[in-house]
Amino acid sequence: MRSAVGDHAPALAAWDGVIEHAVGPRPARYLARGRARLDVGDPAGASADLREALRDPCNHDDMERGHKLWKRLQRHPLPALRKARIALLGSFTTRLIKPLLELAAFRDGVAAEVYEAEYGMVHQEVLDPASGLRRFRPDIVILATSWRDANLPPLSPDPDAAVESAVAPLLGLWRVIRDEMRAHAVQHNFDVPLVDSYGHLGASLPGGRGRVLRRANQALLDAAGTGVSVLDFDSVAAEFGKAAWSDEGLWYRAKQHPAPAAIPLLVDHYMMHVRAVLGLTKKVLVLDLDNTLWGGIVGEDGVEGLKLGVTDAEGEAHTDLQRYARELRDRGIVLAVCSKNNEADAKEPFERSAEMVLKLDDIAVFRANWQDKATNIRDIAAALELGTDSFVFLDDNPTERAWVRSQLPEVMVPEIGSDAARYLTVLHRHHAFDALALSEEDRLRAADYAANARRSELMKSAGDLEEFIANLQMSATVAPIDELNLPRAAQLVNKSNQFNLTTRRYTEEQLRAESERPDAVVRTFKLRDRFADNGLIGVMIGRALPEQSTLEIDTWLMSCRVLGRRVEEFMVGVMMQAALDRGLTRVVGRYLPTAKNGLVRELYPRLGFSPIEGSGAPGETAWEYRLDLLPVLANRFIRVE
Amino acid sequence: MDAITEKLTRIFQDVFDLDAITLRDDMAAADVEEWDSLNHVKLVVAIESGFGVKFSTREITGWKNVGDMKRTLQSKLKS
Repeated sequence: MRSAVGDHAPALAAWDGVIEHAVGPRPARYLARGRARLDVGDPAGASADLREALRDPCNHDDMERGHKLWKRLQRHPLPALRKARIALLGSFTTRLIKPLLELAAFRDGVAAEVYEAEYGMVHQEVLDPASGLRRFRPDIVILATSWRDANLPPLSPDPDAAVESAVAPLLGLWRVIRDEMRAHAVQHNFDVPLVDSYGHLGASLPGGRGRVLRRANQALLDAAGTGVSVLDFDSVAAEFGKAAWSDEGLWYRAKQHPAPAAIPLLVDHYMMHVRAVLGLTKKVLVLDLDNTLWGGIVGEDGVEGLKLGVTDAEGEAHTDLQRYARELRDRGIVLAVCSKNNEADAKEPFERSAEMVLKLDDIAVFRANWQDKATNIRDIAAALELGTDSFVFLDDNPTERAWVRSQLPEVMVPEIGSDAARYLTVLHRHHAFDALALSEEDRLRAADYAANARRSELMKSAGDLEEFIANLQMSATVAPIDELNLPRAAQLVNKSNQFNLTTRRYTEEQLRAESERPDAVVRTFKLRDRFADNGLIGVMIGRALPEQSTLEIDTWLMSCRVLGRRVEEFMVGVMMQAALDRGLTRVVGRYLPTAKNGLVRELYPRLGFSPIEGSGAPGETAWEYRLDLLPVLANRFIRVE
Repeated sequence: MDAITEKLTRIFQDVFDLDAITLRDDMAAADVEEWDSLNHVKLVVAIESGFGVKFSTREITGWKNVGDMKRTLQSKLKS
């Protein structure tokens, strides 16, 4: 880089100094150095500076300047980003919004190609099959509408009809975007204007404009299903400040809405939806301890000396951060700890302090040592089997933040400063964990990751596999099919592909009928270990053939989550005992190969079964286990409940 | 060049993305290729935030050239 230096070298050197020492606004400093770096032929450095500039909240001028640097950077080949085609359709002009959206996308690692329609052409663009929008083939369509689109009188004689008339035209657009264009629609809701000739009555009368708009916003949420997300434009206005949200002069002159100063916040909200649609939502929050999760340094101040809880202003702020983290965990975000500390010191507050909202159980991976934090975060990612690009790192120490950023640029590292009272606001502003929907799986996920991570920790510390399995302290519940476990059993029967010996599918009804046959032996298996309740993880269906003194295994499948723990040995042992209980002395099993069940090709021989003649389908094998000659397989690792 | 013109010049350069521009009082939008309607909006926004002033709609729509802009600006900054 230095070899290409011309007149710009002194400027660049000066900027390096300014970056380090100046107290002025960060965005301007980084933008200036980014421009200087690009001038001396260092697009990668310029690109890094631009991202750095955008890390703090930027005003409209900063972003306009940032966009100019971004445009110059487009001429240089840079690392490939996630691509997205975004259409911006406004009932007001979007010409000031588009560049800021492109820039915010770049900040978030998305190479956005943005299509912009002439303002006021929302319906035409969507409904005309030959429109520029249709040719553009967007992934995401932003319907940038405002309260003016509802076209409501200050007082509607029929409020229900007014709500309907505000919402219905938009629903028609969603259908086309979702079903015909196969794109995701991001729909603005209605920003309730400040100015209303009816004043307070506008909000209180059933037909008042404010009240009808708020009901319409509710109706939009009710109507939006998969493929549509509602952007809370009215809340963005409130967050920005409604008094400054509109610049009426700009509206009359240029059809500009909202005021330019509000656009950086608006594009942040756009990007929240874009990231969620693209699956770029963060999954893991890595927390520092001293002066982040609690006030003070545990190794020096001791547990009693920490600032935590309502008796101390600073402590209260830390407690609120813990509560927020705990709530994130409850909705499926994985928590990890990364702290420079002795492990015993670091864990002591979790174990001893009544003021701790977070417990050790809430933390999926706990790394307290004296390694550098980037290495620790890589270790945490490995233990969780998740990419570091899904991580957010929270640390009060600017040096640690800078280090992690330099080593792992894909990790989101909010500039939380050093005032505990501000941590939460700054973290929340990044909308890192925002998702478009919340499923039951999300809620269970955090517990699952935590359990898996702890099992792999145990695997490391356990000397050998047997010891590891024994340490899991597994216990199983074996039961026939009943009304309670039927749905889950049917689900497992129909979706298990890998550990599935015969891949025979049964509907709920068929499974119920099967379990009622007198010659059938149907068993379901639930498994619990010291880390988690794995729920129903296996199903076996056996058929008694008394004339051959045989129990034949018709169906045997198991969830892959519990592989490698000798559970299969336990399951087949249960069937062997069931055979003996019926006076049968032979168990026969078959392996029917599919594209996906190679995993269990050698299962029967591994368990001590001997080959017999099968029916001869290609690849099919048949196996027997003679109970008159061999013992029932026992398993010392699993206790029966 | 007075301080106002100097600052105004920087804002014009910034908005139009030009390395250098010399403002003349009789300069109008038609004289500068980059001075389109979008950049005009950006220009007004940038001048307002740069100087910490707010123009009225009548003031803005009354401007014919740079001289008009400067006169409005000077009267605002004096008062």
